Amino acid sequence: MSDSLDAYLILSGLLFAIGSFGFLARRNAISMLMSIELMLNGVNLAIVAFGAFIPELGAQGSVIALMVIAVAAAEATVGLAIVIAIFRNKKTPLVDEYDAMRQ
Amino acid sequence: MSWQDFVTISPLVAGILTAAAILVVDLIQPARSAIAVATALIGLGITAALTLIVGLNPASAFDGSYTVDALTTFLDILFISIIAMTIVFGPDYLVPRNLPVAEFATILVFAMTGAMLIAASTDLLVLFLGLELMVLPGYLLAGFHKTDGNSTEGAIKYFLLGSFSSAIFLFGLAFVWGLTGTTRVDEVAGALAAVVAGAAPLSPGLAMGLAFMTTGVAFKVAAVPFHYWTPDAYQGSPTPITGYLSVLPKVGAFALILRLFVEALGPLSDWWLPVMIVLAAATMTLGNLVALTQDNVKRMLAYSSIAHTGYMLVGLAAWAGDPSGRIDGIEALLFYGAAYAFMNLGAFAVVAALQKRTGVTSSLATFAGLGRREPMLGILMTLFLLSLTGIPPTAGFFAKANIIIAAVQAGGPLTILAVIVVLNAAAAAFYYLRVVVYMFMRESATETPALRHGALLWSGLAAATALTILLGFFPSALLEAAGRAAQALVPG
Repeated sequence: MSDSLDAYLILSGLLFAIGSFGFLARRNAISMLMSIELMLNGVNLAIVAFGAFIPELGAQGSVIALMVIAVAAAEATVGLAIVIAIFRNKKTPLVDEYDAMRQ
Repeated sequence: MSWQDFVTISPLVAGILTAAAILVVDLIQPARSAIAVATALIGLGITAALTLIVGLNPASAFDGSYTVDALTTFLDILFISIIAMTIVFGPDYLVPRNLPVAEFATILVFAMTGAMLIAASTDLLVLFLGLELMVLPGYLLAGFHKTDGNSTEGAIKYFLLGSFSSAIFLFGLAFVWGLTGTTRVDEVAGALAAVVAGAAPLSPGLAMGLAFMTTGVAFKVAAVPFHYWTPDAYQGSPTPITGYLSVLPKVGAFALILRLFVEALGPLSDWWLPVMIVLAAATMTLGNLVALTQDNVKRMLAYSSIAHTGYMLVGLAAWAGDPSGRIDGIEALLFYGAAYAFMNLGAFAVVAALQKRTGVTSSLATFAGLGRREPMLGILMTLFLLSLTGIPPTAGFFAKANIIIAAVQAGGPLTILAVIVVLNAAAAAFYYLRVVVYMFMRESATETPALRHGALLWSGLAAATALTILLGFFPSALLEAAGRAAQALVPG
């Protein structure tokens, strides 16, 4: 089992599912950001596994994985900047309390 | 990278250099907004000229992952005009609030390059990178007024749901790539055509990948039920940025839809057509019904933009559902995107102009007595609202008419969708015209003096007005361009 593509894909799906659950269940902006990173890592695991097990894909897998890592880094940068900005305004990281516009 | 490749991507390079140039100019002449705006407009002019020149010879670069065709040129010119107008509308609102104009322009131009990358990409990975390059600057722009609670609140909601949907899209992309063995749009289409023909099995992984990609895209265009982030992000953002957010990321996401659903998933159109029909019907109906109850004009326009997404999705469904494969639906979608961009930007520019005095909200009461206080703004706002309603002879009328005609031609379930569009347009008239009633038939509760607006704002409004009226009287020129673009997307 440990050397089959399906095992890795299931693991990546689980990581992605845990990330999604964290995003939907946690109410702390930082935790939600971390959950998104976990989802992206799940995606990366799937990409690398495809690249390793299917010879026709060649080096594409590594290239795509690197791109995903770069995008994730850019997203985290922007996200943390926004979290800092809102923390200065609202003094709380809890998204449930960001409800000034709800009618 | 050959010289030919470089020539093909030169409009994109010009866009990135423009953004860099604005930053450098701001470094040398800090806080001189007029110079920053001038640099941006000159750079955008060069970018547009290059786009038109390169567009004369359809070509592809980088082993077919980047393609310049009539669709690319059509969308690029649209994106450049949207950004130029947003930059022109910005200073009137930003300067009184001490927000930097140069950074505003730079971030906008970077977002534009992302949208241009989407319009030109024929590779799933490049499509994803373009999408990220388009939406990441959008998160920053939503939180541009960083000391304002509402602006940052809108930004974090936009960011969290945007990144969540990007991750979902990417998960789908990984499986589609792994199981079809390619990221090239045409090769994915070939692999899916083999599945449809029964030559290859549809593995559960591939089906899941396609479903995830569809969900991710539905988030990006704010289709119901993936629209939660829209109202808060739009209401919280500084008003010129709300105008931008309601237009460029939306048209950009539709560029992604065209490249993805029409080109890559085209062979599967019978499978995703029912999904699109349900999405379109739910999106326009819910968007309009909730817009009816809003007292804040920005929030009302946010919900109405959701409804407009629904109308555009009808165009896509009309193409997929047409038994003889007519491209009228895509043509109508492209026309709608352009008409919607100009009239919506115009409407938001008027709201932004009213908020030039800091502390003025965008509530409906702000508009009371505007027709007497500032007749010119009142008349222009009325024009944009009539166009958004779809009353002839404005751009909005032909946009809706084309969509409805395409849907009726396609027949079958699309006829019902056309009826829903008509009913929705009638319901939308109520909340658009309510603003007109406030402007001309209500007296303002407090005595507010008229504001003086810069020449920049007036020239931008003149451009939006001219386009809204001209497209209403002479729609055929743009319609032909849209037709050529649709032809490039769906050969034959």
